[in-house]
Amino acid sequence: MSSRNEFHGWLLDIYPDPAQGVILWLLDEDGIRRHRLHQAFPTAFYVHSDNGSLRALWRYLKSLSLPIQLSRVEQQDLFREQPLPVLKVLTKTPSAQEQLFHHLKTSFPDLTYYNADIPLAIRYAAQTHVFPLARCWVLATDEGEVEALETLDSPWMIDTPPVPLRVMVLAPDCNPDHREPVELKVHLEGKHYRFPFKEERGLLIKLRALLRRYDPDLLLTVWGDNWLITKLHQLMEKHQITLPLSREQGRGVERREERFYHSYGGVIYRGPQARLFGRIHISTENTVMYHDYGLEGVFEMARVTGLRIQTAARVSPGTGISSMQILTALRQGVLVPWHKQQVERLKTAYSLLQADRGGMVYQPTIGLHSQVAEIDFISMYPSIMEHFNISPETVGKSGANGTFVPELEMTIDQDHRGLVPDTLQPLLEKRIKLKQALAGMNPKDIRYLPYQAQSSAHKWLLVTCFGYLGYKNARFGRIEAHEAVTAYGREALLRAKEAAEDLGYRVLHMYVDGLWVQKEGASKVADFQPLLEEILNRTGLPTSLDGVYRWIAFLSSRPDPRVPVANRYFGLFQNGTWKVRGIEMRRDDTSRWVKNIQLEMLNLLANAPDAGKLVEQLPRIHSLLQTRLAALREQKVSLEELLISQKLSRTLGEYKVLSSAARAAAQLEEIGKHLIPGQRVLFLYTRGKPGVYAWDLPERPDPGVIDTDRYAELLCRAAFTILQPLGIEEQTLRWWMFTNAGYGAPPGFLPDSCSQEIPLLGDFFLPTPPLGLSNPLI
Amino acid sequence: MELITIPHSPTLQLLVAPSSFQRKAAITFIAELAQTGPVRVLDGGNRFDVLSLNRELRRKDLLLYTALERIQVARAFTCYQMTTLLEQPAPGGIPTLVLNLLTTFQDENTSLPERLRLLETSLYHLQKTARHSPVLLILHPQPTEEPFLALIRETADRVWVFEQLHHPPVQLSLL
Repeated sequence: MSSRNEFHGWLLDIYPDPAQGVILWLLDEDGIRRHRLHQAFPTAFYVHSDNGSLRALWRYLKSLSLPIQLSRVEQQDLFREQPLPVLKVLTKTPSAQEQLFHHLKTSFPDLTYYNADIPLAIRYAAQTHVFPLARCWVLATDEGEVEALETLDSPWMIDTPPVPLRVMVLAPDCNPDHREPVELKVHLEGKHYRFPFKEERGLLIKLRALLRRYDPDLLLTVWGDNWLITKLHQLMEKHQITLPLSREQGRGVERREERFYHSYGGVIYRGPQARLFGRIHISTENTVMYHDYGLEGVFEMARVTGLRIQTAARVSPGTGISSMQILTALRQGVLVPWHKQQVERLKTAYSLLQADRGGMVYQPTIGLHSQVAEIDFISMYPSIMEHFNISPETVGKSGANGTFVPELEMTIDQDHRGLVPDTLQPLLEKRIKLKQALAGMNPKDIRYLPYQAQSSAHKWLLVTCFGYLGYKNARFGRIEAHEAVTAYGREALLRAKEAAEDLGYRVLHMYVDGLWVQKEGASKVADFQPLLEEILNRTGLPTSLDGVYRWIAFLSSRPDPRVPVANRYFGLFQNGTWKVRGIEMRRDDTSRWVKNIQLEMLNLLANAPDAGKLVEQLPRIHSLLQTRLAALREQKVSLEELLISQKLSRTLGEYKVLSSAARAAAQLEEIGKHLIPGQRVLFLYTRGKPGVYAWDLPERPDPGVIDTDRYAELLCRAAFTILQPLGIEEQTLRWWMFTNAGYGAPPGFLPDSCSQEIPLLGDFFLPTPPLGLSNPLI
Repeated sequence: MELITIPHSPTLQLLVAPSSFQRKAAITFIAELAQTGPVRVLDGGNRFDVLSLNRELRRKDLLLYTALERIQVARAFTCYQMTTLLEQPAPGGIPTLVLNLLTTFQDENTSLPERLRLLETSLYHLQKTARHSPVLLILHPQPTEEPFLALIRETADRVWVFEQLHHPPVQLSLL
């Protein structure tokens, strides 16, 4: 008879095992021991069809003589009133379930399958309430079989104790897409090592020794998924030395191919993946939002979605929110369809015209404005979904207490809590708790950064949850629910506008979930508080004051300065921070050189004590532009600063006219580097044909071939964006930048007789008129 | 446009045309059909342009609201949804226009054999519907959609193909 072990620890990894059910890796709370445990985990899936087809399937399954249990049961389909009669197929292990389903979906493709392709970690979390990084109490035999396992944790707790993970960082010394790395840099526990790649055998032996000695829980790699792990494998095969990358003996690396897919009219690229068993592998460049929320955010995604940490790191927030919905469904005993088949109900063209709209946009008043408050609805769409019980199964039903959706001939059932609001509620509550805690927290507080990362992870989940209501591949999506959310959103924004106007505020701009308001004499946070309360009264939805701008510039369209552009602005908050949207420095395809100069221009403007004094910064901006342009022409700007990054939207063969990115990709193709749609290509603009130079070509280009005129033009456009609200005309800016014209005077102050023949003024200012609520210069 | 018979009798017709023409044709047919009675529109591309339809209905001096109420629309976003939509028979034998049928069958998340199987199922249901009501498929196929298009052509009772007009090169005037 085996003895028992009892301990507390954290769940690190979970994966299926064909013989033992599931394998669980736990980190003991002593921080030293790691436990490999196994547990039987019979796994079921369900099949629905007409009686004849189900009987045929039953007979077929019986004929296979597999260790499975078959039974006819009734389960709840989210979209049906009554429970659905289904065939339950219970397999001994998750691996067996996966194999059998794979076989059946090709042999019996016409049947409707439920709970058939759910990741093991989510099934496990649904059944046991144990999720990745959950603190648990475990009772296991000496042989490692779990006898009891309970979670002492909840994904909705804040201030959970940090998990003492041992982290090993592996990074090649340069980007392998660009040139062959020379060294592998290793960091762990404050120690740094450098192993030359040319000493192949030595590298493997040293790395193996480190892996064995430190036994890291987490391998944090740079270019790990798309280069390093493959490289190490090649070396292992060549020298017949095995690295224990996975903790699980005999299990190597799980590979997934790179792929691309279309989503919302764009092409999304997903790089290749290398996942380990019993040890977490996170490859920073292949981790979604790593730049935004880092490891803390990845851990939070795993905790709240229930996905394996390695999976949570690599999937989109949309898959994350979908996983959370699946988890809720499993816990409520609701069937999870393999493929969503619910279709849009037939509606009249008139109804479609009413319903098929997005968020409300109220075009901004072009120009410069002082003392403007920005008020945002807090997580507007998720709040609407939660507050009004919008879910695919509640829309279009009335019940005893049904509510009408504004504008639409649609009701929402309020008698039964929807699956989507149920999923969102704890997430929204946790996010609000974190935001409240962060608001009063010293940024040096040890909790500050983890809270920020967690909050950011929540933000992405909440942002995508709305899109997923209408997303084609969402298991629990429905277009009517999507339309109901936007209808409520438009109504809420209109009510907010009415509230603002009733209280004497002037609304300058509204954009989906935010509004920009101004009122004579209102400049402090407290001056806008009554409006926030009134909006809450009228909409039932919470808002927050994003801040009060010292000044803000709403920009016009470039071709027609009379036409405003929504969500294109820059503004300086009273606390000295910037908020910038829709301009060059926010774009991925703007070079760092242009972005930095645009930021420098903004920082010069920030020196002005108020909007009326902004024009006093023009001589400095003039000088800045001249200096930066001179540096460009004298080749003093590094090539890295000039890099342009653009996404390939299609395969090279599909381009009718090759874009700059496609021409750069074609150069790479010639040397055997194949890019697929969705991937970004880095390049420089060069003189002559083909006009670009792909950065990942083996040789650096001669700086003399850089198309400085093109970069100067790009800078001119970016500079004009910033200067246009100050009344600078594009032609004037071009004189300043390209003809050595000196700075004359603020716009509108040059005498009529002034021309290029008249000596221009130096750093001379004419007095500027006082600035009212809007800039009189515009 | 006048070349094509507006489907009034139970048949399955296919119209293959360049993008701009097929959009215009769809609007014209829907407006024409809405003049006389109800019409069902099933859209696989989420490109049903109600605003252009409004313009067309106004030009025909129809009561706009009445005409819009006669047009029943449903959209499919996946090939599974499209198959489910097509399973539903046209109520009362009203004409059915299917727009952008193949868009949902270009889903890279579903295997090619599975998509072909679903298309066959869809076509089976379309044929069933066409026994009782007129059905018109309007397509602007992409080069990658050839295997799918071939299946549809085999199924349709009548096929209209409009090709892009290629202007021959013109000698520039020397003056």
